[in-house]
Amino acid sequence: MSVYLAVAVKSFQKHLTYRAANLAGILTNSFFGAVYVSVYIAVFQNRTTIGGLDVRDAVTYVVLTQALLMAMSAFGNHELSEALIRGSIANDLSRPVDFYLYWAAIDLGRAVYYLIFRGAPTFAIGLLLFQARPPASLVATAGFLLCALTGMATSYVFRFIPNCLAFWTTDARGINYLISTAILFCAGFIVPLNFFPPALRDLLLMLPFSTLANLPVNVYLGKLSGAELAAALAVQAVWIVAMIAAGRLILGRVITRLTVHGG
Amino acid sequence: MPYLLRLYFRLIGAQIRSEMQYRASLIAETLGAFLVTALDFAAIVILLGRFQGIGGWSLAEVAFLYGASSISFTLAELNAGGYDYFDRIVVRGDFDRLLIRPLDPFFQMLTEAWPLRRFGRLFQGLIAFLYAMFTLRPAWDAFHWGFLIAMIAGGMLFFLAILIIGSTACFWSPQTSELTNIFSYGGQFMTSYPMSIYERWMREVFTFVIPIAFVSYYPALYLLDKPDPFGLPAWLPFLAPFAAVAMFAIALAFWRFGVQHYQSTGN
Repeated sequence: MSVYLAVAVKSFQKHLTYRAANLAGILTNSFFGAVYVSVYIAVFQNRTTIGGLDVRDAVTYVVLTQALLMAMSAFGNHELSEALIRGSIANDLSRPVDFYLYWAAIDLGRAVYYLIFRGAPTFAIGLLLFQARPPASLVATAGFLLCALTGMATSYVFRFIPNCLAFWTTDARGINYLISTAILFCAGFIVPLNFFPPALRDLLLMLPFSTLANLPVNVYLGKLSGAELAAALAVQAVWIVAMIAAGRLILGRVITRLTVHGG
Repeated sequence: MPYLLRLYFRLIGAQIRSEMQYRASLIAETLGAFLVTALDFAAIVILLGRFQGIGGWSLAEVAFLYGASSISFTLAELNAGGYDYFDRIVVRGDFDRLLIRPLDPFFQMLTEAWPLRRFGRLFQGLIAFLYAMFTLRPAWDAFHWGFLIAMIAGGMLFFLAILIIGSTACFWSPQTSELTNIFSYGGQFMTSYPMSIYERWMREVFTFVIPIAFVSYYPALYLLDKPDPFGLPAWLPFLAPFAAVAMFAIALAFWRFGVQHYQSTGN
């Protein structure tokens, strides 16, 4: 266990180095936040609530999702697929650790870094500039964090599967397109699932993505709690277990017929 | 000049042939780019469908803005393919290679890459634009059509300028590419909606400082015959091509300045 913790800490520390890039990232997330906030304020003119959200809920939704984007790896991540393509996976495989958990630790270290150093400042700016709501209650805050952690785990176990395709396609960019499309749209990063047509919304809530954005934000706003929240998390837990099994199955297959691109 | 033009098409032709070598990858990436951006537009359709328009603009009118700015942005990215990874060119010292060739480095950068996968987004922008045109069916004369072309070309020049300025900053710090995203991707995103929904300071900054509002909003006011809620003069939309050319000239001057002050990473 301590090995994986050490790997996660190293991954966390690695990202501490890129301070200027992170600062620029906070500005970018805040700018996109400002545009989305303007859009919601405009569409809510002459309206009070839509899909259970009022204008301040929608603004809070924007601020929180912008803060969560990087922690949830909503744009995908090249680290794993590039290790496969460049062949540095050979080193990883020769280490006496479990490959799946090793990469999970790297991913988690990065996610926690982005939650603290990207998410928290972006959220603070949104709270000040756009008057986002504070959390509905202490319980809602705890629920939000629980859902966000579930989201990080879901993001990794989901992305692992398409990333394995890099073994065959040797192309990371196309795979990343696929991953970020699925996450950004289906998790409710672009438009809150609350605003989707009900049939499409209910379908997306049954898929593993909503816990990356829509679920934690609705918990934060106090729109989802108790038995309903437990049911939603149970659905996500089933997905996580299923995707771990699938990811490990694919990994087992891949390793037995692995050809490393070396040179 | 004819020599440079011939050379340009030869080099772009070579780039296209090299892209064609990985056909399966190219098809997958083009399709992927199409899907990603199609969902962007689907999100607008879902949102504006639910709320019946935004700030007095119907879905079709927003599709016009979105389509036009998407087409302009994609054309810029297609032609600035080399600038897409300019930070790596500088970090690896590859820029030295460009400097020892007997050709203007700017010309070389324009022919450095021609990423065909961008056609995925171009196609998607065209669909949004055609949807807008067939729904709105504007009664245009020849001048309107000419102005439409000037609007798209101006938008392309504007985004090209943003990409060049962002890349030039890499001469001093390669970590700035995130910042460029604000004005490139952020600019394209912002110009997908009518400027009237933004707060006063945002409107003014993006009209007078970084004239992003001229990419689609002001020209669209004229082309779609919409009143400007802030009573700006009627000739303002016609400044759009000039704003774009000025922006591009500034970018080019900054680029030349950067090239002159370039210090290789060495080895």
